[in-house]
Amino acid sequence: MAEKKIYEQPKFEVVEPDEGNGANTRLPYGIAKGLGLSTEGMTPRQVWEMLKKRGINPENEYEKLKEKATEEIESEPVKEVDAQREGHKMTITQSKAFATLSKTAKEKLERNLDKLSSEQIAIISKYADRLHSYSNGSGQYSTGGGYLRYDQTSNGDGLDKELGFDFDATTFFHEYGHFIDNMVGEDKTGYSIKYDSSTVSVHEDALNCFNDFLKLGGGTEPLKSMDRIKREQYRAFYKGLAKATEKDQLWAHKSLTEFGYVKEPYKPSYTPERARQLFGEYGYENSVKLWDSYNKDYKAWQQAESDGTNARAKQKQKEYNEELEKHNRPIHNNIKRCAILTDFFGLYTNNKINLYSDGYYGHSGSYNKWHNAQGEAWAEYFSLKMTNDTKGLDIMKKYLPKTYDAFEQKYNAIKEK
Amino acid sequence: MVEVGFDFDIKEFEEEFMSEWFKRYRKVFPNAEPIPMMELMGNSILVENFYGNPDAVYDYCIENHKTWEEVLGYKYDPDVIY
Repeated sequence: MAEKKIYEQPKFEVVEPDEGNGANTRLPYGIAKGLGLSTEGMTPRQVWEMLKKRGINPENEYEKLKEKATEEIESEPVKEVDAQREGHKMTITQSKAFATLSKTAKEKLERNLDKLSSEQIAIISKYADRLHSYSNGSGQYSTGGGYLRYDQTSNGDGLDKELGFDFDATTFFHEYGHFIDNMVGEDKTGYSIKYDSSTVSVHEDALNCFNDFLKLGGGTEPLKSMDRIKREQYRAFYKGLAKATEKDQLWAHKSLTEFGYVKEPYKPSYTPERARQLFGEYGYENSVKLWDSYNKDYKAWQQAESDGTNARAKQKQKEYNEELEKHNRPIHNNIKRCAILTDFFGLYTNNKINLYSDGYYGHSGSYNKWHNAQGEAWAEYFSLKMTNDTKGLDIMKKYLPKTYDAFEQKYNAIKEK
Repeated sequence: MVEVGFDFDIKEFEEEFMSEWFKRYRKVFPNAEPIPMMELMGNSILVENFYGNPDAVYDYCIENHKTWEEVLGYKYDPDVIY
């Protein structure tokens, strides 16, 4: 009878490998490798035996491994799933309007919505199921058709990129502001938010602005009626509005300083001539000259290339883009950002005073005569709010403080709804 | 909404403050409207070809004798909100 082989019982507790990653099996090999010992062809047990001879206790080593694993688990950040946020996001992504987007546009929008806070997502989801569809093109919202149009292929312009988005965010949220306005309000005109006390506030804001410009009481004593303003005062008022554009320049100057393009301190400008001169100093006029030279070169290359590829013309276009981005992007971003003011005056004065003829952001004359200032100011506020444009919100707080407060109240009311 | 009672022709002042490129554009296309940037937000031609610069559009239009509406593919729709 063959002698029964007695296997030596291990003196340490066998610990199962953690999460199936084989860490325990690999442990003796790792220690041996660290000591410069060869383990070729050896089983784990044989390696342990070799290590024991060098005073290394497997029990201690397993204990160290367990401690290390525990520490790693404890130090790993706890990923909390915000169930409410996910629910809101699902309301948006499962809405019938969302289904009308192309696969790429869906991915792009979803990716950019992920950049919003839970509060912002909650606001966006409020009426998402009531939007009929999205369409592709420049920004508009149709109350009748219930569609919202934005450029779904765009990767965003300079301002969108500055704000950290890679889609047409400023337009999307502006139009979405109109949609929310339409949903919250009581009538179906599309400008339906009932501003309650804010109707007065907006008017007061405008009058205070006028007073500032006219230097009548420094904006503390609102005029009783605009009709009382004489022609000379209108002129002064209009000149005052030109002065308002100085604020755009101030913002542009700040950005340019931040970007290192301009080093000299800001100089106030009181005339359009001075304003243009100032823009010239900042490279704005250069962009026009650059455009002129680019246009000529582009055409010359187009004519010169008989193979029709226009490769050199395209290269020239690329160079021009880079130059333009370098010199003018901060200015253009801030001009767009100041739409909250420049658009407001055109609408508020029924297009009697518009700044869009001077290259600023505004609506057309026909539009300004038929629509009110609150609706557009709200849409612009909503866009600033959703894109977290703190510079834009600061402009609004400073120059339209009552409107800002009124909109904040409305925003919070929608949030609580 | 409170009506603002203006009783004068703002155009006199408008001319004074108009952008230089738009003035030049108006010489080619009299009584033309300026580009309403708020109604062209996200317009891909404006963003990609002219980098959101209305002056560059006017310049291009003067040279090619095309209106900005033609170049940017714009048509005012009174039934929508911009």
